[in-house]
Amino acid sequence: MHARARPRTGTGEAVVTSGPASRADVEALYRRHAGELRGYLYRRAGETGADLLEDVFVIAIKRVEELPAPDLHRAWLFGTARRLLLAADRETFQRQCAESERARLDGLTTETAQSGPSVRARAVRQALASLKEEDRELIRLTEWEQLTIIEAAMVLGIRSGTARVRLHRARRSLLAHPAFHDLFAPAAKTLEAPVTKGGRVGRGAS
Amino acid sequence: MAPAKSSPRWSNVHSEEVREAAYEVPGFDAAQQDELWRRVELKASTPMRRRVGWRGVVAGVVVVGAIGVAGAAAADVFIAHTGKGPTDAEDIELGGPGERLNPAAPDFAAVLKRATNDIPFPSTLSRDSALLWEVEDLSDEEDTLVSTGALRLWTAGHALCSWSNEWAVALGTEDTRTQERAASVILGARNWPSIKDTDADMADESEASWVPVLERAIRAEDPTEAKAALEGQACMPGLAPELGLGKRW
Repeated sequence: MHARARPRTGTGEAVVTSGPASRADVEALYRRHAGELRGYLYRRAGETGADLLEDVFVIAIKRVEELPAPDLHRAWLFGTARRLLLAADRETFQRQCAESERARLDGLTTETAQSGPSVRARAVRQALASLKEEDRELIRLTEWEQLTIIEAAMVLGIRSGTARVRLHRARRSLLAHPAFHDLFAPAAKTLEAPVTKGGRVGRGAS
Repeated sequence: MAPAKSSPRWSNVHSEEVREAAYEVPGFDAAQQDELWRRVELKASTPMRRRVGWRGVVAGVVVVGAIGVAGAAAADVFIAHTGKGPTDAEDIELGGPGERLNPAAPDFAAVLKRATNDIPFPSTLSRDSALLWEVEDLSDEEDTLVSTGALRLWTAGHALCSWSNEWAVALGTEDTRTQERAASVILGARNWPSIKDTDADMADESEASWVPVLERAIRAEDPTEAKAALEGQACMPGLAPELGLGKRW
């Protein structure tokens, strides 16, 4: 009853492993990626989402023989996390609603209660909320989670070429959104400075 | 820094702006990471009663099905068949293959009987008892859909439990003919579609991993090992009293 099919790459070709991973490999993956995966889960579904981190690595241990090649481990973990989020979605139907609400009512978040998102952050989130879900997720995976295009494509189960096209389209949509566009108008310089989050730079989409 | 209105182009400045808008994430220190990893290891090393696991996940499928169920109920055609199957390989792995059936539907017992009529039981009584138990057991769970594959595998387990009881009784009474017949059925069960199609591996922690253990017990004519193979895995109460697996409920 164990699924034996190997994960597939964004190009639809079966992944060839360089050798079976071990439980120790999974722990190494945990040490390396648990923080960013938790960030991903939390940003998508709050504390409820963060609680899924445990299940991501339980699945990784139980399916250790099915892990893809090492350079795809990170994408595999994010893909597993995404599937768990979607499964949780099916149970509650609440995530998307909550997310939309969150974007709309930024003032009610804990973050806001303490310091509040900047006007600029709210504008960006408003613009992101206007995108189609798949486009929005591509933007977030590549910018917030700093996945490469190939990794993001694997997470979403689409070809990397398709992901590039969608990302390009999503960026154009963002640039055209008035709230986002106005951030770069001269008058926007008078807006408050953005809150620094210290996000990593350098692994974003090209 | 404003992009030209006619043809704005994405730049690192835009990427940075988007990144700055990411939601804050609470800290996750080393002690918390260690504690979570400890829980991961514990959870991963705990053999799951797969039946329970299946049910938990299958219950999660219900909301997808709930619309259809509710719609069907509203239309007064509330039936066990939902027409919904697993959505992907992981769904099959966690919830079992085949159509998701609604045990709360009034025709569920009939659908279950049809779906499992190829599974051999030693008697009509044992079959009816097993199916009735499944219907009663599943009716306790609200908003649950169960895969046909899971139901067939569980029913096959009940059948093997019944055959094991036949075998044990015959072993005790030295009824060689009945013993050999029951043993033959049990040893051939790995080729039943209800088992093979759902869990061809029968290994590790898979749903039917107990089948090879039962086979070894039958070949060794060891009722204690047979009980150990079945206990907590396949038997509904009362199907194998000769093996000490509970009285008939």
